Amino acid sequence: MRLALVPTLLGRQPWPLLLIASLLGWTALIGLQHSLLVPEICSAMVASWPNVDSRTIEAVLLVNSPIGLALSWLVMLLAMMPLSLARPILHLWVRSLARRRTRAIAAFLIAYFAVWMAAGPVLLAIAVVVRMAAKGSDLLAIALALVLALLWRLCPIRQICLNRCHGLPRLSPFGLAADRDCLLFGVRTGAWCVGACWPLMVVPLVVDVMHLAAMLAVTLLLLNERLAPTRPVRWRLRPARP
Amino acid sequence: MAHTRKDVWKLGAGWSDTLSWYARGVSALQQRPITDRTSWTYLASLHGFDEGLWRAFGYFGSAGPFPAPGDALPLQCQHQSWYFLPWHRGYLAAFEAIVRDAIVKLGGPADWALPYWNYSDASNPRAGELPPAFAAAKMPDGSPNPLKVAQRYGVNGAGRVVIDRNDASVTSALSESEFPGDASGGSAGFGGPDTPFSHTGSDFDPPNPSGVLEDSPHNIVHGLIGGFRRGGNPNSALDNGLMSMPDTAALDPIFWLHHANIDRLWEVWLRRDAAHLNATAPAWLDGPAGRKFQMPGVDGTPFTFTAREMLDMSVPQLDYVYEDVSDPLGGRTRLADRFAMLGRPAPAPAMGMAMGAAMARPPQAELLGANAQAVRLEGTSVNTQVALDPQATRKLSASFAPRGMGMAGAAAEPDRVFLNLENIRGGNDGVIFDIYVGLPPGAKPEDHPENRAGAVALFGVAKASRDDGGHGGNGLVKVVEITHVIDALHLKPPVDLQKLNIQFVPRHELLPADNISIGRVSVYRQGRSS
Repeated sequence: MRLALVPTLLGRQPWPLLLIASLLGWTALIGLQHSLLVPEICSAMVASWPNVDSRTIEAVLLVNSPIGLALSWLVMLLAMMPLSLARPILHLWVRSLARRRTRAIAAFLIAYFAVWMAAGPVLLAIAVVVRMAAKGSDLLAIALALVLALLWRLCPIRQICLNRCHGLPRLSPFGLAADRDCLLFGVRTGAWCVGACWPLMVVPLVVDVMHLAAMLAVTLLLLNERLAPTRPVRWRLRPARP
Repeated sequence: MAHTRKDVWKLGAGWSDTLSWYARGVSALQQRPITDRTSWTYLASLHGFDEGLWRAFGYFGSAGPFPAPGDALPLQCQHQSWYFLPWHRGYLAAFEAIVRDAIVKLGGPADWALPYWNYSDASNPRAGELPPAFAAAKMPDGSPNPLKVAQRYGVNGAGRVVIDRNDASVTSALSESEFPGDASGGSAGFGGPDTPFSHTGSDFDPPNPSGVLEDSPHNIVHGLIGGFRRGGNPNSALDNGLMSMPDTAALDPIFWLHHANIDRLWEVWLRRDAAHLNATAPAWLDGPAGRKFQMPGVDGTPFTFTAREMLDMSVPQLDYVYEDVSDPLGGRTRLADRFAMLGRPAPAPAMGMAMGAAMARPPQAELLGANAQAVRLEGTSVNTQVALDPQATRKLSASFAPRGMGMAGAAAEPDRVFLNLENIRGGNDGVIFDIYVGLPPGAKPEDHPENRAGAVALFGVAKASRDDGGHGGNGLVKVVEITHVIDALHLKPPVDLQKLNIQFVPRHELLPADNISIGRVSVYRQGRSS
């Protein structure tokens, strides 16, 4: 269990700061849980089943504003992702001029979260499809989402994504080239991160009642995998070596 | 009674008793199957294993999976980490006990101990030559010599193994005053950067630099022994020597004598200066978190160990001493040498110690500048310009200004300066190149030894360059101190620190097919000035 490393890692920056950022995200989530829109939109869609059409979607979006949805999704990401970004952020800190460090990290984070925000509607759509396929059964929806996540977990493409998440590219030190490199680093890390994590992120989206618990479990699972070393790309039918 | 590890060259040039018994012990281990935890191949796999390479070299013929499911012993070696020294000490001790057990069963001496190869011994003109017993085709009784391996290509690619005086230098390593370092671009420390369990770099945050001792002479000597087969295919790891690659290095019997010397140098470093102390963090002493180091005992039963258990060589688990742990530098310190070069009064030893104590953790380094784009190493020489940031370099220049009494009443040391070679990628582990800093245009590198920053060996680069190889495809990072070159510039004003010319001079002409590249060449300062 790679999570055993976390107490040691928390002794060095940027881990403590990222933990604080994550806890702030969790505090916001808990405070907002009754107005969180993401899981609810799934329920609303499913309630209309099997007559979902463009008018239903419009009606649902009228009640659940896209801005509200986007904010809910962003708060989820803020709670779940920060600890997985420790290594890229350390790379940006060490490999940038001292006066550009904050700017470099900001550019990276904007690009990284932009990728996840763009992925949000797609994941939401997948969650809706899963709920519809489960025909209103919460348990079946969760089971379907977990099967999807498990299949992806065994798939070599996912290992490619996980391996690429470890990439720490060259960062130009000066000017626009430096900004460009940080933005590109954020886009790449975000894209590989979405590729590795997307089915697991669907799980909390289809869970109505234990939404926060599901998110916490997924967060820990993702962090555990992010801490594992890169591995050969192949179908994974056996557990990893210790 | 502790076993004494002796200098292999002082045992005599030919087949000493120690080497004869070593060869017979190695042979006995080689006859055991890889499934036996006391076999030659199983023990080598604890350092590293690559099924394709091992099969091609004839060390693996099993059809079954290896490592066996649930076997956590293979693939453990710790590199680019502060666990490098304690892990290899435990590894050596386990190996030595198993070989000794085999020797005793063959009727050999119960006090047999692993010899060490001190290639840096200034009193012996032949110290850098491979001890002849390792190159002999036959043992004295006419039987095949198990100490000789075919894949030992040396400096000329054809089997000539000689460690040059410069490459065998221990001055940088023994002068580094801090054990732990970090990956902030400054000193990686004598013992290596603070990392979690770190097989092939770090499991979590590759790439980290090697500690100073691990880089030189350790990595360089690996590359100089293993080398690369002359005329071989640069894209084929099969043309690397065994010692050039971490996954095959421990299959060469000379590996163990090289590492005994590295282990000895740890002891030399500790004894030569009262300010030289091991890391004290519980994370080092009792670590690593998450996965314990494990070795087989003489009966094959695994046992675990921590760095803390590797610090007293008199405990039964280790039970050895070195024949010679005297200081080859005669008490010289980095700080005194530097102040002398700068023409400043040297800090008194007590002050030096006070500075060392005050700097229990070296300050984080700061980037000064970097080159404009990635560099491909091809041909016999490659230049790149590192542009330095005026604002950041002002802090460096300010640190040279006489400031009277600094911290703890001692004269303050100006910033140290380090060259970082980031994201070094390639397929050829046998590559070694020299680095020159600030050479005037058109100057021949060999005419300017004062501009030589050091040499870099790419031990482990092929695996580190693969996306799935544990380093995430980030390659290697090398940190080379260039303080002496910057000091020389400050002695000849006006100092122009806008651009620094860096020249890489490979030991052998590099072809495009070698595919060696350096993602970024950067310069860092490390010091108290902010």
